[in-house]
Amino acid sequence: MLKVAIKRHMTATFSVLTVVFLCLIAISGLASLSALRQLSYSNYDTSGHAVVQLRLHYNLLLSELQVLEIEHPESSVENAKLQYDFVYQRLRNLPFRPPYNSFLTGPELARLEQIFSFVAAEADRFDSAHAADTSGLIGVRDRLVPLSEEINRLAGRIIQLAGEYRDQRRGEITRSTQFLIWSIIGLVLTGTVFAFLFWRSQRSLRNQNRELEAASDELIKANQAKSEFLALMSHELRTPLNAIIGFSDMISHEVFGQIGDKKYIEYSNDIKQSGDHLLHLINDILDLSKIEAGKYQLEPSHFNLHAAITDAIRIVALAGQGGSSRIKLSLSDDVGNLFAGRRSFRQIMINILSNADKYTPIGDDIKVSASNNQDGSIDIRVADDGIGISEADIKHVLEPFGQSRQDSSLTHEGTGLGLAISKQLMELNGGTLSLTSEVGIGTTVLLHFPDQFTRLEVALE
Amino acid sequence: MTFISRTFCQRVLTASLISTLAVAIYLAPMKFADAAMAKPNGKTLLVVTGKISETNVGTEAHLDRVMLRSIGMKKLKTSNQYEPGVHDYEGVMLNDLLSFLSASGATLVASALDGYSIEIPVHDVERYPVILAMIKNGKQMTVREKGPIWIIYPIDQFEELKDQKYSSRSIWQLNRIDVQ
Repeated sequence: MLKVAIKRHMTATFSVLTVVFLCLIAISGLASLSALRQLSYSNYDTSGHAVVQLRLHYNLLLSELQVLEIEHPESSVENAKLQYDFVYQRLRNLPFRPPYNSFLTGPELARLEQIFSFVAAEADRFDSAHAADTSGLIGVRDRLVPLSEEINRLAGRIIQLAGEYRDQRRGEITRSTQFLIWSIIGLVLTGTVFAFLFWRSQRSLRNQNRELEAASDELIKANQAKSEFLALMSHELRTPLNAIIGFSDMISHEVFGQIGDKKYIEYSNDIKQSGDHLLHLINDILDLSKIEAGKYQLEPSHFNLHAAITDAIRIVALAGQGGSSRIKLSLSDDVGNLFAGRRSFRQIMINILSNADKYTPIGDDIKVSASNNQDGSIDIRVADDGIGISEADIKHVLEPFGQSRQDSSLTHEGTGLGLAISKQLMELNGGTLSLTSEVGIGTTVLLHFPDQFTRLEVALE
Repeated sequence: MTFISRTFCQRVLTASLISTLAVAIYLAPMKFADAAMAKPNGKTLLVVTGKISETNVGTEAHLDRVMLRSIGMKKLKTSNQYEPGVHDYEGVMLNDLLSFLSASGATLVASALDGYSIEIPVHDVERYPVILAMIKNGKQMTVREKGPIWIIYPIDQFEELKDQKYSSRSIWQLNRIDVQ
């Protein structure tokens, strides 16, 4: 019992652990997935490039302006205007561009805005410049050169921050993936330990089963040995008993001449009565042993119920105290034949009627009735007005050697095996024997033979 | 008899050859003029080269703003990775442009004014309404505002377009497409 309790406790623990690890896997899996999605949607891997391109175009703009100042070639005007547009566009967008807007500090963003406004202030000069007149662009370079160093410094800072930002995102994915892996390892370990313990408990359960089967086999063998011993002993006991009964009968009947003292006749009668009782007891034990050993031959057949009951009543009336007239038989018209072991039925009826006769005071009636039920079964009732049995004792009287406690005050002759044998014979016939009784009012024994038609069919197969 | 017959035959053959050639020469320019695209009147915004049937400057198709607009303008309201917020973009559907030029390639190599270049699978254009945006929030885009043409994917309309690779295909300051 203690082992079972521990196993239950362990099962609960493992179930909880499994659920916990499954939850952890789900959570870390979702976290990994969301981090990966984030990376796929906006990894900003190339976020450093924008600022690098700004630097490139800024330097190109300065070069074009320098060429313009020295040589005034026509193509340089358009080139310078284009480079200016590139620089303008990139500087304009940089402070708003994710993730710059998230990792640059307030002063840095403000400085970027400031640089943009310096550059944007030159827009009109570029707009009005054309191949024929480049005078507006003279001096622009001198104003833009000092910003170059600052743009370079900002570019370096942005590239560094972008790298850190990227590493941070990747770190998140690595952490959630590691967490996922550990959760899976935890689940696998839990499962392995659980599987091992389960296997071990199954093994011990199998061993226990084997031991129980072995013990059960031994018990069956021991019971069989007991039954066989009793059957053998009963048989062996009857031989000398027949001599005792026979010779004591001869003595009491003074077969070979008169006996001097009448005391001897009295004693020989006692010997015969005791012998009869002993023979009766041995016969009952023999029957019970046969039933328990499974050697009782039932030999079921169809027989007339009325004739069989009448026959049993006659035998009981002969040996009993009240005569046959007080046993009233009432059979319903539809009751014809019964399909059962005939010898066993006779034995059951004699046992029950003897009991009824034994425990019913002279002058009171014993009622025997039989009826056919709708489901094809047959009920036989034997009701008496005898001393009755208390509810607590009903269970005892159906066990071998279980006479009712009241017997101790009223000495009735009997082995105490009659009802037990009858019950077992009824069960052998596929039926049941049940008792209803009330102390002082009487007892009713109900013999229930189930569905006759089906039983007949089974028997014929 | 034989002489006359041979000369006659030669003459008839020569005359028919000459007349066929003359008709061909006469008709050829008309036929080509029917099929050829008009040359751009304004400043060329986009040059398309490669596997296209419709051309107007050598083997290239040069398109100005008017020509592009005539293909049909479409509107697209979406956000993108480069700027905060959602904006209204307007321009020519890239797929419409390819049909207009009877393009037959599988890849578009798109280049920008600054020389930056990326590849766009034609598959993208067929599956999604990708536009060559020229107008942003009702205003024509200048080079200073990523114009004159910016390729815009409908990333707010299609969840899968949020992937980084589509962002990198959204090239701005576009001026050249090579159909391969």
